[in-house]
Amino acid sequence: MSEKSVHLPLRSKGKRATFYKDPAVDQLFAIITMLTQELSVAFDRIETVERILDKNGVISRADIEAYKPDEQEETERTQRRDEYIGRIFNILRQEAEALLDS
Amino acid sequence: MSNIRNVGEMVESNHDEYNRQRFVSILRKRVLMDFAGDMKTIYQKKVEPNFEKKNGRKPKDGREIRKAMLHEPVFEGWSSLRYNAQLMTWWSVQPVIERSLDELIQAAKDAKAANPAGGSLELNPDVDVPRAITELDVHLMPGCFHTEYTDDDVAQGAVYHYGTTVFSGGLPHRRITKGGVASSIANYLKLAYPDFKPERILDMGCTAGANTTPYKEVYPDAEVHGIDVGAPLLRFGHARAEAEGMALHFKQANAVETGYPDNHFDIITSSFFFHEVSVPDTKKIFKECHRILKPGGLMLHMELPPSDLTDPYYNFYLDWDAFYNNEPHYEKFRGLDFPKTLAQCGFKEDKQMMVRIPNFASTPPEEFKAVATGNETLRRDHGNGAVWFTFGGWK
Repeated sequence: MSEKSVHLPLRSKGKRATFYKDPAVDQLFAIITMLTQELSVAFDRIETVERILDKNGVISRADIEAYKPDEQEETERTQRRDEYIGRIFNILRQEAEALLDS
Repeated sequence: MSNIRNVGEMVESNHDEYNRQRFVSILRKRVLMDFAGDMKTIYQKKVEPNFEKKNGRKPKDGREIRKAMLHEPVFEGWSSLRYNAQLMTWWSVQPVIERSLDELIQAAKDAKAANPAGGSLELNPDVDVPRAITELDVHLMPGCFHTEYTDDDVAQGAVYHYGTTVFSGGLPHRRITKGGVASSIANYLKLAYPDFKPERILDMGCTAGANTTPYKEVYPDAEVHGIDVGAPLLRFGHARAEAEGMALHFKQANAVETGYPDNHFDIITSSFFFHEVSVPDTKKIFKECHRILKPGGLMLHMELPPSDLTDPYYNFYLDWDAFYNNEPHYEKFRGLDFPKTLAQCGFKEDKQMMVRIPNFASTPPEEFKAVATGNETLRRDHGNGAVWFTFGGWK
């Protein structure tokens, strides 16, 4: 691994979009979305640890870094992530659901 | 065989980086498929009826729908999620690219020095990068297409290449391969015009060459060129093509003034290019295409369909990018009178072509062939991704 020679910017040139009357809500939304991602990543990491423990009975950081899900595992992970997003953002769907029920 | 490392495959994300990328891909799928469906339901069941009650008619265009939707909670929430997912796409690949940048640059230099496939890379630092690109980071990609952070930089090429993999990684029809647009157009042309044997092909706004490569695959005897204003994209694209044994010719040039001689190309194409170009430049580019196209040659660009071919709700939906994805020309481009504009730029109406091409990789071969040879017109939405809208004309 080499020393980073360049730092890529995180900010996009141009006005940041806002969708709510209060821009604080937009900031909160961004933070929550990132948190949701990090939680998903934490689940991924736990799952990886569990699988490695199951296989070897020994924890190794190198094993964790090198671990790549096989196709079947990736399909399962994809389904879990998909359902997870559905749960967290369910509030966005409820109005449509109610309209379809009525 | 060369042993040059392929810049398109050498970046190794660690465990958490990889899973951040996968999360973003699936989040985008949710936003574009399920949540977008909910938004449409709310529009149809609530917003449109309310509008009709108030105005005695349905909204006449996408703008009116946008006005009615702007403060609906579903629009605010959906937009926020889509906007954040867009930013997170690029952020998810930046750390590993920063870490790998020295190696990527070395691999690109090695590819340039050995040039095993016989393609070429011609950079021109004096090229006029349009304001459309320097003033806003298109697609919210920090650094846009052109920014260079160090000598021989490929960073933005890598961010674009690896980022677009995350961007499309959750969409069922886009997962199969990069370059889906070009492989659809090239295979379509080969089936629809079996006697048309292009000797020289140009892809405009070729970025890192994902949609340039398929032309060489489908027409291996043709000389295939790509132009773009972004040097890091071109260095990256050339290095990847050389490592993959594809002889592609990349040149840094603005499409309004390509520098090619008159009557030079048999096919001129582009994918998702014109909506990022201002309307005056779009017209200049059509004229430039006409100039450098051989008589009997074909200009065929892939784009989002013009707004007069799609319904008001779909226009409201597609034009989201114009407002929030730093693509300010998107809505004006789609609002052009395509036949009239093409005619003004030299493409006679009776020689114009407007065709919806099924996505090659996800369409059964028989169905694809039937569309290509039978000239069936498909009416599926672009947004569902199975069909690409193309337009242009013969010279």
